[in-house]
Amino acid sequence: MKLLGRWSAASRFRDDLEANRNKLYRMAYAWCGDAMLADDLTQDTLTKALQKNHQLRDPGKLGSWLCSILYNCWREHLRRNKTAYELDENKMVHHHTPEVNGGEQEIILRVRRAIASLPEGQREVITLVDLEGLSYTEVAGTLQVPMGTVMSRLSRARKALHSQLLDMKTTSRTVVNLRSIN
Amino acid sequence: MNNDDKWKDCRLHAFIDGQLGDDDSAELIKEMAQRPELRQHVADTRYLKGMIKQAYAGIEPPTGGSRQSTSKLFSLRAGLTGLAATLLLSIGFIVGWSTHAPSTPANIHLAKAGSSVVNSNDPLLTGGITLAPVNTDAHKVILHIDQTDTALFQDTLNEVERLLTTYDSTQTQVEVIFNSSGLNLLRTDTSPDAARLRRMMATYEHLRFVACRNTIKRLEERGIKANLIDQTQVTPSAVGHIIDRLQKGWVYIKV
Repeated sequence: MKLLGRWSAASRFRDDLEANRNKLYRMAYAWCGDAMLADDLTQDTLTKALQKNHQLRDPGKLGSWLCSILYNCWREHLRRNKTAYELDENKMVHHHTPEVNGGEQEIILRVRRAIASLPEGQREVITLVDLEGLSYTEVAGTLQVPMGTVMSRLSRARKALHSQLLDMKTTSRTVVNLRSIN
Repeated sequence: MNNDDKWKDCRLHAFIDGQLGDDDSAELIKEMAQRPELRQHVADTRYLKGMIKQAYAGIEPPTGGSRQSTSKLFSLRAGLTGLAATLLLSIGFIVGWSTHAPSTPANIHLAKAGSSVVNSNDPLLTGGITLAPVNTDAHKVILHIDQTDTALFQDTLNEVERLLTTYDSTQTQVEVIFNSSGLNLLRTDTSPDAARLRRMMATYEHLRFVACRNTIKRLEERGIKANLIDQTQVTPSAVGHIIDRLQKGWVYIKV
């Protein structure tokens, strides 16, 4: 019976991990902006989570625990590929493709570009808070930084995004008004 | 921004994120009632939060190829899948170990992408001819592509980049040789990602893409001119080139 119980718990744990795959992938993608790398990071995270499952004491904190592992995988990747990521502060190049020029898709791509243009630390904090919905305490634990750092990074990130993205709000409002006139 | 402003700003974000205590929240709400610009700022930030969620809502892990099969390892709903995978891995490991002793993390990755690694005395490769024993140099790798499979091609390029960025760049040498229908991947008019090939050749000093002249001739006989991507090298025969490399101790991987 004990063995059956263990097997069932292990199976449940794997299901829980699988349920978190998309969220982890989104987070990884928001950090690195590369679909294949995001997939690799997600895969590494899930593999490590399986190997270290005994380290998760509170199953209710699975989400933030996985984020911590993902973050470590991401840092490890950055350490190994330093030269590839030194342009962190640079804005991404704007490509006028048909995809970019299309309404909703344009907004999505602009937001992703704006996120990608944030310094790494700010990008990590804002995505953990806004995408994953982690508390500030959990973010501080995940990134191993003081709570004050989390709050100031978040504040700076949002300030930058305000200046880059809020004109879209005006634009979309204009669109709504025009529709109502028609 | 002075310290007081910074604190107020952080307090505002904590309120927006539901991280502020009840008393502080009540105080801030009172303040917002008096200050429309503060209300506007909160509304704008909430709008931003919504946009960020929306921007990544449709992002899903890629499916297909080796990645999908790896993900299946985790679901393990059917015990047989796991068992079969384990058996396959074991067999792969034993075969790999017996045919290629100095295994490196790099070729383990490549093996994952559906490739096979052999040494110079593999009778399947040499058609039964036994070559003189050579010392294999794990830092010299030749990959062989003879099919136009875009997904496999991209996976191969990913692994090549991983190999070249992970290991000592002064020692590692990688060649990717294309023949048969794999040559299409090197042709300017048919390559699915010529830009990436050019970038890789410009970036990595010890990487070479090699085309088979026999295949080019066969295309010409059919009236097709093969315009290859710049900097691509041409060898008289892919098989001859591979044999030459094996004799020099390169690790051969058939993609």
